[in-house]
Amino acid sequence: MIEHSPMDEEMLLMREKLEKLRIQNSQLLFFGDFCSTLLSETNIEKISLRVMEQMHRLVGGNIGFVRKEASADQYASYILEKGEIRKHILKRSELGSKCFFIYCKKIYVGNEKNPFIAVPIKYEGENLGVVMLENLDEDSFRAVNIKHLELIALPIGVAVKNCLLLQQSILEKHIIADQHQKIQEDLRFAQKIQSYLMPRGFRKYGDYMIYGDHKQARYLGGDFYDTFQIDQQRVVFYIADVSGHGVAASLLTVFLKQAVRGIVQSFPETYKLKPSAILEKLQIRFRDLQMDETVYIGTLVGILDFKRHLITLANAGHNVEPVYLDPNNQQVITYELKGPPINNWEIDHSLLSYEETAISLEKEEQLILLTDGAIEMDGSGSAHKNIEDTDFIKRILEIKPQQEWKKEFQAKIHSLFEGLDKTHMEDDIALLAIKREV
Amino acid sequence: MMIETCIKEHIKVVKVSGEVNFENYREFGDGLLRSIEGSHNILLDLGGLSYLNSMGLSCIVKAYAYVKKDRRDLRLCELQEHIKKLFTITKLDKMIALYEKQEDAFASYKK
Repeated sequence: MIEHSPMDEEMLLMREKLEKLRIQNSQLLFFGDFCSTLLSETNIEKISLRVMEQMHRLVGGNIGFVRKEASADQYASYILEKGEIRKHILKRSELGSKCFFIYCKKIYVGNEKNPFIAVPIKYEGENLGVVMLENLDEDSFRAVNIKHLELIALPIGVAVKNCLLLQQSILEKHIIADQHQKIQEDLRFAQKIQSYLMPRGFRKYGDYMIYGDHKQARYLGGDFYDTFQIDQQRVVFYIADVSGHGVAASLLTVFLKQAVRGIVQSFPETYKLKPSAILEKLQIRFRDLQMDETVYIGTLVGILDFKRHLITLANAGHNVEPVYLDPNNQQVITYELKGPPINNWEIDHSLLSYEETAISLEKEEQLILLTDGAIEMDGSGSAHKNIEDTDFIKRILEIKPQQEWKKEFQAKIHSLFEGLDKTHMEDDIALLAIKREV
Repeated sequence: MMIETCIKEHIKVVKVSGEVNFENYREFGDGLLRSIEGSHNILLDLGGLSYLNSMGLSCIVKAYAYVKKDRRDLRLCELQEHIKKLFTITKLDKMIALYEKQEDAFASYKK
């Protein structure tokens, strides 16, 4: 029998302590390594794999892992058997008995007949999943192993939660992007419809030519115009700018088109129809809508009598004056016409009346109606802002009133519009031009 | 576009300068509504305003309606000629009092 000296015994104790410390140290290192690998990973599939491999390394047996997916009511179910991993996406109702263990509060250990360990994966009380360890030997149920499983379940919970949040935010980003795209498509379609509601190009009425054109901004806007013949010798035309922009403003342009045509059609004695009368009736119809006071329509309405060569104009707060052009003499005249916009302001009703101006055009002379987008498009800055000083009018004035006028005029307007970058264009531009040809 | 406020002779003077256009009319509208909060009558000094579009105009109408509902008063002064034209074209000058100079507006409150 070997006798140990007290010195040897102390050495033995020291060695045991050292061995214990070494084990603890290696466990700590392992735990630190596991945590840092897990928490730096953003791929939930890799995390799930790592979790199962780690659990298998610790206690052996077959490993199952069920966890929540980022989408509602979806669970990912993994099974690690004989070194192979299979994954299924299940609904909660398809989880069967595993569902119970997802929601258990702490580690659940089965009985001798059914030996298993269920390790719930949680984050701040929220149950995210469960790792099921089955086909285990007795050694697996040692208290130290259970403690170990309990310990690593905590960082697993954090890592899984991080990944789910990341996936959810990506999912939401996709949903928002899809919705944004759908809204953009809808708005583009609405812009198209609005565009169809404005007659584009030339229309001939007796000795007169009326040209309408517009350039829409990147937003759905409130600029609008329309022309229509009411009898054998008269044409109603108007240009309008609804305050604001977007769907509300564009819907009001539809209201405007319907209302003006309705007013004209239902006017009791058409031969007495005057622009001021149209505006007064439009005012009444608009007030029936009971809109907010910030919503109003500035519109300039005119009637062209192409047999009597007379244009009568009335203005309801349209902020761009009508421009008379005489290209032969390079003469530009603007008309200051007063009148309140079509509005729902608390205003003395005596103010809701409209003055009229009569204009006669001689051969080659033109009357141009524009919206304020034409002023804002002027690159020279918006400080002075007189319509007659804008590039738009200057460039129109350059066109010689010859036989090719029609072609040149349209080409000039198109080039002016094409020169504008739609993506940076903030406001619409609408144009109505009336030219006496003979 | 800039909005400055000060209280002078019990009247809140709201000074607007720069341009109100499509890009900043919302900012102008919000700023204006914030500036007219309180119990004072409002004098909107537009002397430094070089451009006002239709949406900017509607912001002023909204501010006017807001002040009116509060049984207060909003007057305008120092408008540049082309801005004044906007108010006359729309007949808003018949609804909102316009004054050439700030002192004229102050004098009108004393009457």
